[in-house]
Amino acid sequence: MDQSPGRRAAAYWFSDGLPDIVLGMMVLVVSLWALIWQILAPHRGIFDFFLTTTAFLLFYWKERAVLDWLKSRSTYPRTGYVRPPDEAVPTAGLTVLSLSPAPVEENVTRFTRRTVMVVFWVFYMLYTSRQPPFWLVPAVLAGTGAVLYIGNRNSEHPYPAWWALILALSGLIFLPGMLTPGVPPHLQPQLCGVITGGWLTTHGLSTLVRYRRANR
Amino acid sequence: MSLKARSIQEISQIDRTIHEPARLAIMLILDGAGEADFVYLQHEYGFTQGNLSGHLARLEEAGYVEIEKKFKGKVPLTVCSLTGKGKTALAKYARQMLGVLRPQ
Repeated sequence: MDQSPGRRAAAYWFSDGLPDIVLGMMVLVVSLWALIWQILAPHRGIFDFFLTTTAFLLFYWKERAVLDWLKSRSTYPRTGYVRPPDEAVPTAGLTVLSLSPAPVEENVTRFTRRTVMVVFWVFYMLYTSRQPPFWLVPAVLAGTGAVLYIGNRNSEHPYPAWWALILALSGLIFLPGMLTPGVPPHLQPQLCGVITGGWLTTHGLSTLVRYRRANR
Repeated sequence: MSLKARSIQEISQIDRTIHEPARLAIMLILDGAGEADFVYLQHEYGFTQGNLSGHLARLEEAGYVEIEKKFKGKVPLTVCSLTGKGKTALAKYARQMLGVLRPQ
């Protein structure tokens, strides 16, 4: 991580874990909602996709306002206010997941493209596939863990390798024979969302606990 | 490193308001972050309250820093940011120092 004032300011936005908590809680709530709905009234996955897309649009619209409200009560009184990072302007080439390092000397982030959009594409792949093969959910979770780790490893909010490995390996429970009686195929996409949301929330909460201990 | 006579002349032109290490740190932090409040600046450089106040007052007097008092939620904030004049002065200072210290 570059220690220039601009990059430090960008990392400061994520130092309390609140961005991960807000994203994780959103994913967790919408996935639990979809899961319960699917159990009570089985329906096509595309409806869950519309529900999830609405939640992501709401998140995109209100994320900064919610974070500002939370930070003004927990972070700013302890370590002060600094201007939130702007979302980095997409460069030529891959805009969804660019592996080039973030620009230095600037208070910018790629959180939306490198974390939020990655999670969104997970839902897209799972909810829009009609007959997902048995290996799809384990493969998607393994891929998500790898992409979140690699895409953010030099950024202002890296995920630890061991933590990404947990997400990557969590998909193994969906393989036949790992759980008795096994996860029904029509509930697997929603459970994948619950796991991803829980993973993000837990990471954010552990970061928040460390932050509060360091800044009593 | 040897300095030419022209470089020696340039040293006398350097902006003393920015040249002081603590004030230079404040200017660089604000340049990178965009805006930051009193507590953040204290944490970043390890200033005491009085020390930071003094340096900010000096930078504000020179027109390099703008200080705004506001609230974020219920928290009172003293938010500092670089003015256009401050950014220009910082860029000029960087050019001068690089020019002066360039190996001959």
